[in-house]
Amino acid sequence: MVINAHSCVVVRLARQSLEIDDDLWQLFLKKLVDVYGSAYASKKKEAINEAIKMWLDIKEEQRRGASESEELRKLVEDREISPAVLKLLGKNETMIPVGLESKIVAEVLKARMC
Amino acid sequence: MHLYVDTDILVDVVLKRIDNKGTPLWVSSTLLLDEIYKGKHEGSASILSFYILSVLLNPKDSKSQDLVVREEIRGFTEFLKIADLTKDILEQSLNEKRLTFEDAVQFKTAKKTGAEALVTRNLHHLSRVKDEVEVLLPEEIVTLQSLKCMGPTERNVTAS
Repeated sequence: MVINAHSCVVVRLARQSLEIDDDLWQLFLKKLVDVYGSAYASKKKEAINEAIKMWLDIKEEQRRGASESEELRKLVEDREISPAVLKLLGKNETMIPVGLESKIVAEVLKARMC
Repeated sequence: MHLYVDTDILVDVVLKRIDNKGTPLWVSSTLLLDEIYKGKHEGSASILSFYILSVLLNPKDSKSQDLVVREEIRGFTEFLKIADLTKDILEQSLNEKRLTFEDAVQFKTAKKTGAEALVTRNLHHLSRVKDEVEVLLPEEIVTLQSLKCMGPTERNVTAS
């Protein structure tokens, strides 16, 4: 599905064309009808602007987060950590949400019993 | 300061844990253990934590990995005091209504060791007993200006 959106930069009006996945577009149209009773053009524009703004915010937050994380990792390199502690440190980073350790242990123990 | 180190801090280190935003939680926990190793703080942990670590590090219960796990646990015992799990702690934990049993075991063990603070990422639950023992994040103990980005904000996020 190709749609048109307008972006206004100072006094210049530019027309942008972009392609959106059909499934996503159909889902969006259905939601518009559910919420507003019709797929109004003004609501489409509002939704696209909101989506782009959200995307920009998320990317900015990710960029900031990545930079802070790198700063933190560098701390360990910069400080002379005892070899006895360093040898305990895992080789690869693992994503484990805080508080999920017990659930993982429970799953492992269940699997061992099978 | 005498610190009781909860399981999740040890997990941060051995599994080099990052959270779902990509923040390397292992950094402050590693720095904390290093401070304990260097004698800046006294550190204790429960045998229960090492059992949990052994399951996480060796989920398939393989013999070869078991040797690695033993070596890892031995490494911790070089600088952490290991608190026994006693019948007394079990009884007290069973009667502790503010916490789940697992958290109660950690809390009662921390008290038994005489720790001044319990270092954990589980602030949400363990803060229920903060009137009896200080409950802190590792970031609150590791005194580095550069850690300021993981300071009070992180505490709020974790505790919510």
